[in-house]
Amino acid sequence: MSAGATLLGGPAAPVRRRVVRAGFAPLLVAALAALIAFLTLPVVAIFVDTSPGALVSSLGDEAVLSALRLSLECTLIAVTIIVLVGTPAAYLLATRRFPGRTIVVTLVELPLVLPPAVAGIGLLAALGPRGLVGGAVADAGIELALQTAGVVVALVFVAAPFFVRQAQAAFEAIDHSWLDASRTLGASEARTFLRVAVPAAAPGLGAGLALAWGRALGEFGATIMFAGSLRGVTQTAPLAIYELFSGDFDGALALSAVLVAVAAALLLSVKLLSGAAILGGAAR
Amino acid sequence: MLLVEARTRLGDLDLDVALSVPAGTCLALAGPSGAGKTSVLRVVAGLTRPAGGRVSCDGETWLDTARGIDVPPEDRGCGYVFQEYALFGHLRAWQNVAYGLRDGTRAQRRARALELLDRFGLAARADARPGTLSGGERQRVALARALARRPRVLLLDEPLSALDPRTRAGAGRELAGVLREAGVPAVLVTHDFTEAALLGDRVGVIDGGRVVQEGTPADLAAAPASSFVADFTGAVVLTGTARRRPDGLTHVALDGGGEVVSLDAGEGAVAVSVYP
Amino acid sequence: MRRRAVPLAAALLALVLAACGGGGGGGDQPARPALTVSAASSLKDAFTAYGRAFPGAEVRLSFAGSDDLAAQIRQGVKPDVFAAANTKLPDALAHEGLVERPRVFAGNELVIAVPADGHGVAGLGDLGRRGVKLALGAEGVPVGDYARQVLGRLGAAQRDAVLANVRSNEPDVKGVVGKLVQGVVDAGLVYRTDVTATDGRLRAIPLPDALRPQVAYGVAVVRGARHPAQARAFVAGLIRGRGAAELRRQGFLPAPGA
Repeated sequence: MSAGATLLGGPAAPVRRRVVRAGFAPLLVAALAALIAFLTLPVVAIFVDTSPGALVSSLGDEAVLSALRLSLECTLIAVTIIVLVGTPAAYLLATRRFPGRTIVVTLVELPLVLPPAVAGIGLLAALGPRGLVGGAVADAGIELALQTAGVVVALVFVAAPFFVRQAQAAFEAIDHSWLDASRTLGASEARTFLRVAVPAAAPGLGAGLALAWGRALGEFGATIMFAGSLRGVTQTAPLAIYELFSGDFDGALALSAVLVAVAAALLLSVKLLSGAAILGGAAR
Repeated sequence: MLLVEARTRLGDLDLDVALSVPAGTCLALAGPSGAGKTSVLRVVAGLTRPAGGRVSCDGETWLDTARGIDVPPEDRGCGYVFQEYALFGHLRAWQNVAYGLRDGTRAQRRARALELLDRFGLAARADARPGTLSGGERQRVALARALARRPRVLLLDEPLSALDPRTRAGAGRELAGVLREAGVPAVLVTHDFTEAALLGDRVGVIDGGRVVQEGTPADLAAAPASSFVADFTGAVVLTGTARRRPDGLTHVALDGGGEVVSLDAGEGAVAVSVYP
Repeated sequence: MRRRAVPLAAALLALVLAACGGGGGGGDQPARPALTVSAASSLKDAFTAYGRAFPGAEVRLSFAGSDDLAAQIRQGVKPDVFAAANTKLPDALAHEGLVERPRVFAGNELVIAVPADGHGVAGLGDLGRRGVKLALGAEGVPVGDYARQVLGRLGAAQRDAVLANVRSNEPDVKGVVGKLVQGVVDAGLVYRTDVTATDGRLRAIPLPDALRPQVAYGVAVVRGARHPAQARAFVAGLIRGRGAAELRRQGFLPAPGA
């Protein structure tokens, strides 16, 4: 210790270091407090401003109900597609090294950094009636733009990367020798994936699912551009909120409050479920 | 009989080995870390595919790069005890053991797993998660899991090194018994010559991807083929100049001063291994 | 209830704005006030050109559906000028004491817009045909309300047939134009100036005289504007001056009844 102090040029250095350390923890706390205050304030305001009466009456409103129903249906279908396709894709990315892998990972993550409006334009340019493959899609008898199916397409596009990223990280975190052990114990790659990789990665997959679901529930820009806004067909809750905003601010607030509650409940239940998986699983 | 021939480049290492292990015997591969020991096990298990080589067990070909044969790991029937054991953290001890069992109902598989755990004195821990098991318990669960499928070859990667010294001796004796009983070729990998000598019927010293000497533990200690082997077997290696004396003994004047006498013949600059 | 949350939010917002302003507002520039103008989407091109040429201030423009801009003002957002695609919204805000007396400064013509290469729709009679896809402005958005005025003058059967063909109720007129340009819908009801602005990608089909609604744009200085003098100058220029000239150049009509 004394040798170290000498090398640092006398006792001044350790003293100053201690001062810095003393000031750092409060700084961290202050930063977190500011962040929390800023992030929760709008949510708090929504609930403070929503009168219980408006909440109840908005829940009786057919437009609000149909928007909520549509939001739940579309997001449920979207996350199901995302999980079914995204999980094996993420597993491949996590467990294999192949040329161009970095490029593939970047391509998967690209929608994360795209503004939703760009996503909407892109979907129109790709799948719209005049889009790149729009003709082929139409020939197959599939109509996406301005249809409920188009909402699902938009949701999958913007939300999938949230799940795939998280799933890939979860699979990468698995001890690779578990997968090897499974193989030597007579399990094929597919069985190893289902019996070892997926259960071991369950907490991470759950977190990814929650993120993707939340993103899908809040989707606005890509949906309105690609799928438009029509009650009962393509008008999801965020679109309904935007439409209510100008004419019926209290109604918009009430629907916002409901959406916040639904999203929070989803997030919480997924976290609890995957949390149970953590407790029941790898306490390594 | 397990026959292995493998030539491949793995990172900085040029692996080039040829081994044969008769049924009921254990070949202990000993060497420093990075020597390619684990790679040999992975080639046998089918987890690593070498550029060139052959692996066969009791006349059945698992790998023949020349003929394009590469049986996947799940069809080879290797009981593999991994370093750190690789127990599935999301499964209970008995479920780990039963993982490789396919036949019968769930109840039957559980009964078979419990039977195996009982053999290792772990019946009481059957429902425990790996995270709550001690090192010695984990090692025994891993062994039970590897044996559950009645493997045709046993592969053990540093089976004792994760254990604390007090458990190690007992676990070593137990493991030696298991290997005798299994009656299949076994390949064990260790960085500790003493462990290799204790568990292996024959010991192969591996360095830089090659087996530099193979023999019984006694052979290796008595006549190390190189100073590396001698050093590795735990001898003190000294250098000096040897001169044959009329008494028939070889006298070596050590570079560091002093003299030693050996029955082996030798002349000029030599290395001498001395077991303290 | 709302009282308590707003000052807190305002304080936080002020903090953020102060931080932004501290960086941007360099001291060496002559003090040129920043005039904030909230304007209807359909005014985009005309106002952008006028704003660039406006001598009195640096003009910051915010375009959206007029109803959304009005809702923002009701929520306490204070631009200096509010320009809407109807007179109803500025009048309502004036009645609520939120803006000064509104002025009518321009007119426009509601037309049926179709893609230039579209064949399905040749006139109003085709809008209710089975299989024709339509986009309108949402209810409450001026362009949507004008469209519904038109439909309201049709017979009930035809009106219902047209409404059944509506595939999207867009939050502003640009949304309708976008869907048309992409060929997602076959027709929509928009302003003639929006069709002109697409450089030939859309074609305008006039509505019958009897059905054509009177489209009038209203503008008002917002009460509590930070730069009321410049705001009034901006409004004056719209009625007689560079703004008015720019509006005519873009195809807007003179204020109805002016």
